[in-house]
Amino acid sequence: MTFPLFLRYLIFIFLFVISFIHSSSILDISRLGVSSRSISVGRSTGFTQQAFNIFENPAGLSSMNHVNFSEFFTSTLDDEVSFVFSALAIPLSDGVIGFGWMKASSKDIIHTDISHSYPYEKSRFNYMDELFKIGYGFPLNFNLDFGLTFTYHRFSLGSFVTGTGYNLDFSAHYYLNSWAQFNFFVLNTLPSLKVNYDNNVSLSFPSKIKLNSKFSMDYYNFYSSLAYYFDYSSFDFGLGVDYQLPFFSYLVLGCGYSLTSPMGNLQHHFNVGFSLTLSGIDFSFCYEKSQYLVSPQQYFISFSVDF
Amino acid sequence: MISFDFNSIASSDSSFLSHQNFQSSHVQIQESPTPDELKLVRLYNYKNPFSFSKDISTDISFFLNSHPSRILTFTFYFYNIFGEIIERFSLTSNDFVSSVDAPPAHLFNDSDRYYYYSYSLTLNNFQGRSLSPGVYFYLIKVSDHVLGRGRMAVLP
Repeated sequence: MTFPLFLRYLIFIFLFVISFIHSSSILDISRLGVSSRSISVGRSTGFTQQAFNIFENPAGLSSMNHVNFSEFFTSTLDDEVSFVFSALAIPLSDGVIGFGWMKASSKDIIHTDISHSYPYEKSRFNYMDELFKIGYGFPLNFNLDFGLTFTYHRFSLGSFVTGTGYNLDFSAHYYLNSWAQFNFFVLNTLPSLKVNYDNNVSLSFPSKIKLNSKFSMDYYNFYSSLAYYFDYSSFDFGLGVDYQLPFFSYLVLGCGYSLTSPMGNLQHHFNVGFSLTLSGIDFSFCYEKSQYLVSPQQYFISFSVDF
Repeated sequence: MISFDFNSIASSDSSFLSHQNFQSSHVQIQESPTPDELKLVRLYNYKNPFSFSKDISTDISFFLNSHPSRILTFTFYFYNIFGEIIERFSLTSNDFVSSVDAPPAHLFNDSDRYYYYSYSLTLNNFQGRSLSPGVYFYLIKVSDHVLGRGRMAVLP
């Protein structure tokens, strides 16, 4: 496939998704970033040889030739919310199958009631948001890979409400030449599918398109990402670079900047990180400095194992 | 980060609570502490969890150890689960519903006097934009002094 044809595909998908804009939707927990390595280069996704590709670029699974298990942890707001992402990729004869699980949770939220005009703590409950993903990435030709992911979403706020729903993600990964590659990801390609809650409310999945690029030059890789959320009408943008030490190739240093705009409020994020890969085991760490007032700095840890 | 031990505070006494009287502002001024001397306890929002579409609002309420002699400006910050600020706005003490009579000391297990403040949060505070179901965090500041923080759960 030629590059102009690839762009034509992107435009078609963009128009398809934009035709189903919804004003009210659930939260996209992958907005946090999908791995330490990805966050450290400005939240650009889908260029690693790790099972994390299942989350934001299933087409990127195609290039994997080992069974890989990856895990990501972080917490936000002084540990009041925890995130755990797990992923597994298994190469098959014609492609790579991937499994993913994302969980965001918060414990001991106060359930209030009122007595004689005063609120009081009646009990406590937990919040949980989970995504289960199964995807498949396969090469279409020499320089183009495709990927599809089925997503099952589960939500609960204690025993007050639970909700479930499912959707499909799509991505294409294009290798222009040995030093430039791009991937295009559509989160929740079927906006007509809803999350149904047991209080008789239905909400749409957030539709997002994301374009990532990677340019390689000697020991440097330059990354960019641009995402647009149709439901929130907001952009996320990121730039990053990583550098593989020539005298110690096991270590990659990275830094990046990303701009997010939740509900129209611009937030700047600055990241530095490293990845250490030894004997098929990769450990990545990322430090983020943001404008957050509660937690002006944050840490992300992920590891990945090839079998 | 300042933290408050809410659990050390005695549970509500309904016989006492029934004697409470409320009015908007116009409270008797007894102390005028600096922001750093303000102490906030029992930061709740009722209902929690709640739905903006069904319940319309949730009342953010707390007790302060004083009614300051001057009008204070409270700044509210709201965060999503990623720690990103989604809204911030300021209120003066006159924007709250507050109690004239302070609860007796035995309710709080110490000799301090506390005064009740409450504010109804609606979607208007978020410029009418809808909030996805889930958990949100709020932080209350006076000047640069963090008074307290809480979590509100938004139902779909």
